[in-house]
Amino acid sequence: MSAWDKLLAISRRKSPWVYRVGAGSCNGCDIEIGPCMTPRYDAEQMGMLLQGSPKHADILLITGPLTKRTRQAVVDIYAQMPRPKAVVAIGSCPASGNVYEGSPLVDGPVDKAIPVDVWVPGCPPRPQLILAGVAQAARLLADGRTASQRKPAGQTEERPTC
Amino acid sequence: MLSALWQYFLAVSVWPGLLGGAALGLLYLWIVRKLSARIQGRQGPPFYQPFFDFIKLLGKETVVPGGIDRGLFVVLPIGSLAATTLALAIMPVPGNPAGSFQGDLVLLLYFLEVPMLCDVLAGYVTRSIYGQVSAMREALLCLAYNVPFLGAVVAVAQHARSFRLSDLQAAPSAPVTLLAACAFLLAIPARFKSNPFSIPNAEQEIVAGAHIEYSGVPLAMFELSHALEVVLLVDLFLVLFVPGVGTAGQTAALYLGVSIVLIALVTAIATVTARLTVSGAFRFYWKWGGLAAAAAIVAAVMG
Amino acid sequence: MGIFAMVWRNVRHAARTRRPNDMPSRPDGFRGLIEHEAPLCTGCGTCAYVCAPRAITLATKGDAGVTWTFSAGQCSFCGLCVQYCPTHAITNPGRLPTVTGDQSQLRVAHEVPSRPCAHCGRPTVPLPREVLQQLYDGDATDAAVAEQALCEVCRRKAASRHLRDAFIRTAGAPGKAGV
Repeated sequence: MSAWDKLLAISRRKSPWVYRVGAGSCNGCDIEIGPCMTPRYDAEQMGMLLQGSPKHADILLITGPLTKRTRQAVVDIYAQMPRPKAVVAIGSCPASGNVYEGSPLVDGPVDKAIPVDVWVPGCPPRPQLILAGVAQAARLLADGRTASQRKPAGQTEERPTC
Repeated sequence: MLSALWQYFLAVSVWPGLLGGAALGLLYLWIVRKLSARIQGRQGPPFYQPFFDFIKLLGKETVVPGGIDRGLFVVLPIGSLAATTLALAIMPVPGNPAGSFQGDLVLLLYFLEVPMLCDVLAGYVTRSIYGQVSAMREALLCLAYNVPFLGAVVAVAQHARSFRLSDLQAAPSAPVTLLAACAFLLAIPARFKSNPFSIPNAEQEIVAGAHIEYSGVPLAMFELSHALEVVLLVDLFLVLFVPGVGTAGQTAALYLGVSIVLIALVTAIATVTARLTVSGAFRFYWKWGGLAAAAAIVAAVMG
Repeated sequence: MGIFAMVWRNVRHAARTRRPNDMPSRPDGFRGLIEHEAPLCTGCGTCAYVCAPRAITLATKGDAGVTWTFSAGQCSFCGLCVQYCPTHAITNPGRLPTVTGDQSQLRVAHEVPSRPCAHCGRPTVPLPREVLQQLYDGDATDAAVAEQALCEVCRRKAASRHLRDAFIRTAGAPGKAGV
């Protein structure tokens, strides 16, 4: 690895910018993501900033079982994020649907739509665990081990025309 | 002595231009974030955070929205960065290899408007509704904050009887200097786009403003240009209103101290205030900014 | 001017932020990852019945026994399984889950093997010895110990024999297993 690549890897670990999307969640996990920015847990001490646009973000925090209504939005948002990107699935709903599994409105675990790099179990997980998940995703980005970085170059991705 | 071309090249690229300005800009950005965090009771980011943010942005791919003018999309951040870098190069701060020339104040004021124009155009070129609202707000705010800003600069120029920055720097202190400094300070939060005038980049209202569709290297250039703009405005304040002392080294130390105090003051105001509406900011600037500018110009004309 | 007092206080004192190794401790009774002890499990299926997200499943493997499977990625951490397990095989020590990149690390599978009944030889999951001691508070009777390895059919027969012996005194040794 050249010096620039090493510097880039360190910067990806130290600067995880986050975008959150709720795929039909009950908002319990979203409520727990909020305290991560407050003085007690202070995500900014590890460089994590909440961004308003997916185009500014590295890490997607996704909550909720993937409902049919949110499926296309989640796919579009993931496609709009510039590479390299990571996905952190928060809670048990993205992993399995939790109590919503089997509902006709729920479209299965989240990794049927987008690749997931880190699973944060809990219902809802505590904020320190969410921060640990983001830190793990930042490390994966630095090492080049996220799903978006392991895909061979040149493989086209479904991009929305917005 | 170096030839004039070399002098300007060094001024643009090393000090006070791109490299030196970027280093100072990163320092100021860190001070803003750390002080805001401390005022809010948080720990705040470590010292190297803005640097790593910038490097990380350089390594991201650029996702260009479909159906827009790609040339303009890429040229706007380059133009913004070029304008701020060139403007920094003509600031007569200690250690600037390039000299000051007649009329460079006017050139500086023109350069200062380019980042704002690039932001407004970026808001429209990306065809995002949030970008358009942000561009409209930024243009309106520009009409508002330029009242005290230009009033202060014109008052100091009138007092120094010149449009040359080194003459303005060397002009003796007078009541007009204090009044003009107050008017200039009124305009600073709006030029920094920080509370209570963070109207163009109101995250809670218009997501990310004009930069919403930018990513990767163009976004890094916009962020760097914004940091350089902060350095530029702080330098302008120092050049116009802070007298030099003794040697160049002592002046540089004084400049650094005053700049940190200024940044801390703007950050403290930003942390404790809430955002005004565009019409509220307009009213504020035309009333109080207009009064301060008028007072400064009257003092300059009478003095 | 409360805002200035607050700002002054915040700037003077250290930040309220917790470091990563100084995070708030768990409250008492915190519902974390459950622990399942296969030696205490009878494969009754109550935990799977009350589990709303179906994180616990019991699969029979014919005559070999049952497999108790738990997926932390599906658990709501409601604690009903802990509350309803009749043998206290499922406990809640308050262990926090950990993040992982591989969902299979969240799954746990325990075998609950069946043994042949001491009387008829039919494969069955017997009453665990520790549960027997718990039920009798450490003072199990000889009859109870002898009947620990019976299947439910033979246990029912043994129980009705005890009942008969309690009402009708017969000559000969009462409560002998296998009679």
